[in-house]
Amino acid sequence: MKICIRNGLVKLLFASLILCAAATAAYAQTTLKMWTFLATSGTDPRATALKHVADGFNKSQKEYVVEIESIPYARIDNNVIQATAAGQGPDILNVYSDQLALHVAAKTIVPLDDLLAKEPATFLNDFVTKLDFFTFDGKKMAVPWETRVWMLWYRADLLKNAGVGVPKTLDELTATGAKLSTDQIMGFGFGASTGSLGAGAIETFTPLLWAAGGDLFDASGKTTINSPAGVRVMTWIRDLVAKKAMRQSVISMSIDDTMSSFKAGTTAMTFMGSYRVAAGRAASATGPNLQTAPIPGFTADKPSPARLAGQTLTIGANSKNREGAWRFIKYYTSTESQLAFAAAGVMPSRISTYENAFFTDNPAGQEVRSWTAYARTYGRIGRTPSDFNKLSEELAKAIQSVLAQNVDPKQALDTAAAAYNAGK
Amino acid sequence: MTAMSGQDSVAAPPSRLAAALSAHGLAVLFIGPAILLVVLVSIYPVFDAMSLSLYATKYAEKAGFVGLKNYIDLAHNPVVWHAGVNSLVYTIGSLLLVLPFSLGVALLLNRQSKMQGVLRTVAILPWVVSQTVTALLWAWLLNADFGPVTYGIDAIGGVRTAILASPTWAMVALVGINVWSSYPQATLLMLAALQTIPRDLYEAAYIDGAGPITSFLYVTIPLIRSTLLVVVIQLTLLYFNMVTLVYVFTGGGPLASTETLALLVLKISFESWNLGQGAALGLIVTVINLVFSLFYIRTLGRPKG
Repeated sequence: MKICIRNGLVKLLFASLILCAAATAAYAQTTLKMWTFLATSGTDPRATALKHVADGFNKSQKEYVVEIESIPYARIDNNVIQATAAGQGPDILNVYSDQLALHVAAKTIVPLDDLLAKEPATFLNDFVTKLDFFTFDGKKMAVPWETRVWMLWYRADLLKNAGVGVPKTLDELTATGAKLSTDQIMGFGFGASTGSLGAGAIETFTPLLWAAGGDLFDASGKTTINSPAGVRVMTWIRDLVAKKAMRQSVISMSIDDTMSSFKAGTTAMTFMGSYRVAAGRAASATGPNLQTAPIPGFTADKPSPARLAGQTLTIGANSKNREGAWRFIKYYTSTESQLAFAAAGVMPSRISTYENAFFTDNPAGQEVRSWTAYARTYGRIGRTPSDFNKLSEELAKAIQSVLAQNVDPKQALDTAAAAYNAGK
Repeated sequence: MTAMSGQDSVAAPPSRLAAALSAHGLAVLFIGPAILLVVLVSIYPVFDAMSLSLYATKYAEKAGFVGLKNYIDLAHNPVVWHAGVNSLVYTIGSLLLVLPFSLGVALLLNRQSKMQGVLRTVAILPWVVSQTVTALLWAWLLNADFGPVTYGIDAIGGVRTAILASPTWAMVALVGINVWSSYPQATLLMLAALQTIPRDLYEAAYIDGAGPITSFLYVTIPLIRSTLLVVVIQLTLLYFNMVTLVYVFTGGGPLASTETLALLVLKISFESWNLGQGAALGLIVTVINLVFSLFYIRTLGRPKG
């Protein structure tokens, strides 16, 4: 009898264990690692949106759980390259469109063609920036989740106090900047240091170069920043300081310093991306005084071309969960997720998202829509090579030498171009 | 397999290594893991870097053996020489300021005072702050547009300063901040050394007619000489290899005026993604460090007289 009971208990225990194991297996979730420069907490409104999206995905299904790992913008690309070489790395990777070529060359990401092939045309043709732009050697490497455009930022309060309007040409910008400049305020400023990978310099220079009829590269991949158009832009930058619209101190400012200075009200105008507007307005000293306008051109009839770029999502080379990663990318680019980011001042990457009432009824949505109109009319997107950071740094050094050492603009750009083109 | 002979079966006398192992088994057990760790994290990477420096690389992968080409390219690169000069200015400038300053603070802290605890705490505070925070803090303080220091100078003197926009002043500021950040380390070591000097020696010197300066020169300095040597070597290595403070504070600018060799190693390796050349420059920096250390040991470590 005792043996019978013992055997029965053992069987019951064994059955329970099997059931538990089966139940665990049924509910075992695969963890997807996502690496991004955004955090899921902090004052950046995009952080709140990211958390909303990640939580929403985790609740929407039971197979996968996504974990967000935040890495500072200046380090994320290096970390990914090193991790991938060590056989590690994320499942889902956020890559800035300017850095996409770097990741393709470093083999940190894999083509998405097989996954995209399963998607309907309504998905494939629904992007503001066509997917062809993210194609390298015939393979689609990423999907954009955000569009950004560079604009003139101005402090409405400072312009009003000085009794000046929003400049429509670059000459007007110089004159307005000079009027706004005081001991405490710099009329116009941008980050001309090599900090933040020289982003401030290249992002300011590029739309003006296009407006002057030039381009960053020729067909062979060599830079042409020392073209007459480039010299015209560099001369305009030099004159900003000569005419006291800008201080020479910009050579020590990174793009983040410019942002801080603008928020503090010590810089009245700058060129900055749409994606930072919400964070800029979140500062109590700025609020609605931060206003945007198209970047002025050399003539009044049209503004400078709007530089377009954007954050993209792709799959890491060592990911073992491609299907799960793709499901998250689709969720991240869904209308619901795009609206969450739009509320944080991010321009959605999908055309269909703009049909939502948010973009017609909500003032924040209307502003995002106006940026999109500017981008669609004057937008231009330039493919960036894998060593784009080097060009940014050389350009920043050229601007520094012109502003601090009075080097001739043509000579400074020749030096930068020679340094970048060496060995090409 | 041959059968064991009668002679073989007789236990051979233990080798010297085996004898040493049996005699020092416990010591080997304790020291072994530490040595293994040092080999893994310090020795192996040096040899790996030596190997890597002889290869062309593409991102994180070796692309082909190139011999000494990376070293030759570095030798012909004016940017490297410029960074070398910057490294020397930064290291020697910092040492010239930090040594007298930290010794002065140590002498003050060595005096009896009711506020001794508070003063010592205040004196070492900068050491508690990380290099990243130190750099960000001072970059904000000195910012030309919204920095409080700039504002204060403008308010008092009516002069708008842009310290970090001047190649010369940016280096001066960098050296100053480095001194502010690292003097507590030197001060603590010197203070510890000062406290080991018996008071009798000062009393004897006083009886012999020595004043404060003579006592300092002929009692204090000779007795803390070995500590000074350690401090100088430690700080030289610290300054010559410093990346974080420089990278965050100036990023090497403006106009590469604060770009040091250590920072260049980082930039070549992880911004230009030329790991082979970065490894070569890293090894050159290591050799320079060794030369510095040997020089100090030969000059400062030599007994006087």
